[in-house]
Amino acid sequence: MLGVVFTEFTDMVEQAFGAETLDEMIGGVESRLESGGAYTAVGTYHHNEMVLLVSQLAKQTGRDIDELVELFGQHLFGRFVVRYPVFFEGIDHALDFLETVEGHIHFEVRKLYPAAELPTFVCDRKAPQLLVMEYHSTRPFATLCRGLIKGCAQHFGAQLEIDESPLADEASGMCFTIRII
Amino acid sequence: MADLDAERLARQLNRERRAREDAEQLLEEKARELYTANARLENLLVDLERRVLDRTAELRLALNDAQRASRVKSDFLAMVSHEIRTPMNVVLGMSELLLDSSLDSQQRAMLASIHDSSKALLVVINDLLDLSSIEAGKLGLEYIGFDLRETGSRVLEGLRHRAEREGLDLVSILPEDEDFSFVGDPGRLRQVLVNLVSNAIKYTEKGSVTVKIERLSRDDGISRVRCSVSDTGPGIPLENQATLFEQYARLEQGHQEQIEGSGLGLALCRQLIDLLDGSIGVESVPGEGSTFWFIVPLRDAENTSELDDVVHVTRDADDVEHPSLRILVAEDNPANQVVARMMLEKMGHQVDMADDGNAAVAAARSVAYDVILMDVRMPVMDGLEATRAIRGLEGVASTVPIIALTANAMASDREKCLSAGMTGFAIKPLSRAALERALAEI
Repeated sequence: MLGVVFTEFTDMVEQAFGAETLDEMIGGVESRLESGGAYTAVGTYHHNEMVLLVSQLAKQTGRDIDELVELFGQHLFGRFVVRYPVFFEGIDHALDFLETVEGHIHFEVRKLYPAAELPTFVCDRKAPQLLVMEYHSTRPFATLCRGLIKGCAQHFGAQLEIDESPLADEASGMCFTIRII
Repeated sequence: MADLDAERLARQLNRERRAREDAEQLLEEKARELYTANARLENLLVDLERRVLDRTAELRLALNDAQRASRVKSDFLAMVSHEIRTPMNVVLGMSELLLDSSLDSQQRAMLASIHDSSKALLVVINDLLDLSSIEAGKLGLEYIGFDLRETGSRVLEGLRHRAEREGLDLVSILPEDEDFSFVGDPGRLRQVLVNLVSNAIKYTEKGSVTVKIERLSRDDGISRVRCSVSDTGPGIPLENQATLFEQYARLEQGHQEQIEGSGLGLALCRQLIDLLDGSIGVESVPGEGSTFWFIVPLRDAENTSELDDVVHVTRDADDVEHPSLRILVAEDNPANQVVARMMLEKMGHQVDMADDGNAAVAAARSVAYDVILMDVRMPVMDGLEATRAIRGLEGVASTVPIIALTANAMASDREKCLSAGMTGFAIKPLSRAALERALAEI
């Protein structure tokens, strides 16, 4: 998993829950983290570290893991807007943007990070206001994906209705049916 | 509390430091990778450049070889051209002279057949040489004033006899009122027309051959002219039309197999029309006949003076009686000497012979000839050098008209003759008509 996801996560935790919570979260699982909890945006880390950190945060705050991951997804999308404005040029529709993720954005990401293991999205624009988006990944981050979609709606000022149904034969896969209302 | 904060900040600082060190290490690794990749690219570039240089050198060598081979081929062609035309000269000349003598009808028929076949052979050789010179890029174009109507009429007149013999009507549709004078290469247009009309006569068993010449457009001093030759022959199936203008393509079905032809005629026509910046094609329906056509752009003659020379010369050639002339023929081949002498004497002229250029200059110095017919290729001194020497003589001897007798029909050879000081040309093999025409020009 790309380092930028980890640095954005620790930043969010610090902003939302305070520096103590962040310190406590890392300290709580530090011995099991290969990186020792020191993240740089240009590095790459095992996705299990993210699972450990989120679980620890849920334990500390008494919140639901899924709720926290989705929250992070929304936060992360806002950060992408700031860090990579070029991806948003000329796009003014939430579903249009989601359709560019696989072809355009992941292509650019691979240029910078050839080793990045990215999820795959299969999009089917059923109607101008309806997008079916399949998330294929070996990692269990469909919830993060939902958070990102919500962040996207927020950015474009769109009201979305998101239906989810797990993909057969894929432990981590998910089919999102996204409708603008 | 402050202690706890301090400890937390120390831990945070420690993590930040480690993250920074990781980032720096990553940066170093990436930089090294980039450097290695760059070095590899640079080596590749150098290698590619070297390979391009090597390949370019190889290609240059190959090009030199090809050019040398092409030059050798051209030289060979010129030599063969000369070698073939010289004996052809004798065959045609002698048979023409014999035809004028008293013969019984069987002998006359046999001789006429020899004469016709020789002329046909000459056409094949000329086509072949023209094609080769076009391919070698050596065929130059003339740029002279001419009346296309007249060119067309002369082609028709030349072939009328043959058409009549085959029982065909030869019909011409030429523009009447318009000014049809152009500047260009009438010889090449004539060659193409003759080819197309001869083919039409050859392949048509009964009916007619119609030649039509028309102006399609006129713009900015350039006319687009269409010449078409329509026949009532067997026609050509669509699948054969495309290959018709390729070398050695010929219909091979039915009785057409028995028709003689080199298969070079139409290929040559297309090459010539290409050279003239025009287009050529055929429309045909099997059973109904064919129309061969070509369209060429021709520059309009701006004033009539551009035409005067050519038109007058060609007219004179036909109908003027020649006075008896004193003529020197410089020619090394004994058989050609006999042909030239007999033809000229039959025309009522007085003939002296010179075996080489040296002898020709000596003769020109001592006798005031009306005209000298000068072979270009001769031993001791060639025709060009002899001509320059004669032009350098004192008095009237230097102004004598000199007509080149040359087996080389190429435009570049004509240029050489003109710049040596010659006044006209007659292409070998000589015919009586060609000699008369050449003499009429002086």
